[in-house]
Amino acid sequence: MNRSELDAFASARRLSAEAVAAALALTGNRPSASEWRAFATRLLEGLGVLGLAAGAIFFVAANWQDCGLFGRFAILEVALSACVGVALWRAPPHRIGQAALMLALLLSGALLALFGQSYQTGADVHELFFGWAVLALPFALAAQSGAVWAAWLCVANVGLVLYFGLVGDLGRELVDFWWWGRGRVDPVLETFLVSLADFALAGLGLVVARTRFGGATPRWLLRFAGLLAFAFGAWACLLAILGRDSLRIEAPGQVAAVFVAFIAIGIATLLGTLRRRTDVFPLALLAASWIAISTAWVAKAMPGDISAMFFVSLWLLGLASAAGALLMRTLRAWQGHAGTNGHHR
Amino acid sequence: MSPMSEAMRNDAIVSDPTALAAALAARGHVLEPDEAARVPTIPERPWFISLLLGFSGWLAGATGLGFIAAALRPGESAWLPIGLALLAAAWAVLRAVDEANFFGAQLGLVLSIAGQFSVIGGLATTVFRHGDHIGALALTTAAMQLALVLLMPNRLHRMLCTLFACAAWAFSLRYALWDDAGLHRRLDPPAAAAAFGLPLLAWMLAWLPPGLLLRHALRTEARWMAAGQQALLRPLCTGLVVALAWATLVSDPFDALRWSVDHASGDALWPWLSLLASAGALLAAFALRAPGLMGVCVVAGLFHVVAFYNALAIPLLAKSLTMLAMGGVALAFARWRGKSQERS
Repeated sequence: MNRSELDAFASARRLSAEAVAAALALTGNRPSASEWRAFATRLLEGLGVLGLAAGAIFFVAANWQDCGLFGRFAILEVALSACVGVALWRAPPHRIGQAALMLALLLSGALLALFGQSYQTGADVHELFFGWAVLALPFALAAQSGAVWAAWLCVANVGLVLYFGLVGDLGRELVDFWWWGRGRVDPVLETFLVSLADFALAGLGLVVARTRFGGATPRWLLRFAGLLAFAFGAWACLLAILGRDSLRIEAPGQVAAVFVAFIAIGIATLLGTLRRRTDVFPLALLAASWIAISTAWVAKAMPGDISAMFFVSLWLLGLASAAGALLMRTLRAWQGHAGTNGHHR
Repeated sequence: MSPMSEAMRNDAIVSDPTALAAALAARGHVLEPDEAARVPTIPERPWFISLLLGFSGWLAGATGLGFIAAALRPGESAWLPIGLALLAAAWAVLRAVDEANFFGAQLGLVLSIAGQFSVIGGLATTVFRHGDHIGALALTTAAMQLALVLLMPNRLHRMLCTLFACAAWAFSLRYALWDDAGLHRRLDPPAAAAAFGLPLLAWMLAWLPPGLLLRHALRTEARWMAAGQQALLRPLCTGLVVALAWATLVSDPFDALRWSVDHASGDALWPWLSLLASAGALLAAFALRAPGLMGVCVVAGLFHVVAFYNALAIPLLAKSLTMLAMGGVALAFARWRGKSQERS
């Protein structure tokens, strides 16, 4: 029983405060002393890793001259080696090993940044992030931890965003496949390629979740990957709708293909989610994406008078209500089948 | 946790109402006959559906108000009555429908958001005409949000109003202590120590009250549940958790996460304290067994670290050493706790 059900139960059975306290404990809604201790320890570990990683990154950014080039490299490399050593000493899935590999993942980025800063390699920032993602991949694989994979996903996404944001003509040609035949890649497609990469990673995560390495892909990580995928997909569609006049969209065929692909992925997500009946979150992402896209389309299509605002307001009201009702109906139908869906209000 | 609770914990977790009633009766608690038919059960709503509805409602309210502004072209003095009328309509709608009626509940939310914008706009153009009254306007907004928490019978609405009330309260303090545009202090130029102390004091004034309120609400949860106050205090708790984690950022959107340009140490202090607040909010979310809320707090914590990095007033090296020291102490403490747990 979750807290919401307990709220209703307490009201219906007119429980006393003592009975409510007992009910909270009996239903596992109040953490026990041992759970508190364990959580506090994990929180401290998390703060510790965050502090050390941020400290190291800030240190590289500070570019402390007193330390000397050798000293700066030595500090980071010793720290990185120490992390790997700790991870070997307490190998994952031990928490200490996972924390050490998270730190190693972050430190490898700091080391790359220091390298770029010191030797002025001429590399673009996206190359740093791609290099970071590649270097950190063994750490992520070894850690078997959702948190480490989430950090890796962030690094990879930043790299992709920077690549498509800063890429020059050469880069455009690299992703402009011969069969596309339009000579250039639109910003809409670039954004959608990031979405596609995230969809692919989310799909891979779903597959891994069914294997013995499923512990490395908790549901929240799959949700996070799905969120990134849908956010970039919706962003691409919004760019196509709202930026039609201002952006240099030279290949309308690419834009149409993006819409078709996003619709197809949406349908696949819908069917897959309905078949699994475990989590309504992908449906909520689908709903949110299409509410945003359709609202932008309505706002753009309406004549620029006051009726547009009224219609957009009504449109949002109607769609959000319908989506909320449908999602809750689906959730209720699946309850007992999928366990908790990350409830709270 | 009492020994009784620990003993209960060792039993299997009770997962259905019939078993819970039996378990409570076996422990000597008196249960009234099941009144479930008379007590409306509101199904628990996942956080992401609330987010979808809340954001859509906010946007629909803003565009709806835009329509009113364009269609009626009301004068400055008309915004306040229009806003109050919209709030009254929202109250009537939310009272008339239950939360299972999504369209009705969403309509009430949209009307209320439009009404709140209108009231704030009306107050800004009539009562608080001058720019340097932003602090007073924010304080009035905070009071209005608190009143709406009490008045509007809708959980999502109450949660949003709690969040906005906390942000407005912090905003009012910020504008009471520093002026509107140039961020010049209203107070006399402080000594270096005071430069550190004033932001600390301001932060405490802004965020200790919500923190203490949340702590009190969690400690007295059984009492208010027994008193039937769930519909009011459950969303209040959620709103306070989100506010403690995030509103330290959203309460200062115009200054790139800084409250002043001349409080060197204070600039760096603010995100650091906010990181602690989000850690506190995380503990509260854990107490509420709300994994979605816990995720919200973790993400907020990362934003506070970025804000600390962006605080310009102290050198990066000092910030680096601060973070390293914090990390080292936290890990050492975690290790010590782990060892003492193993011993016990």
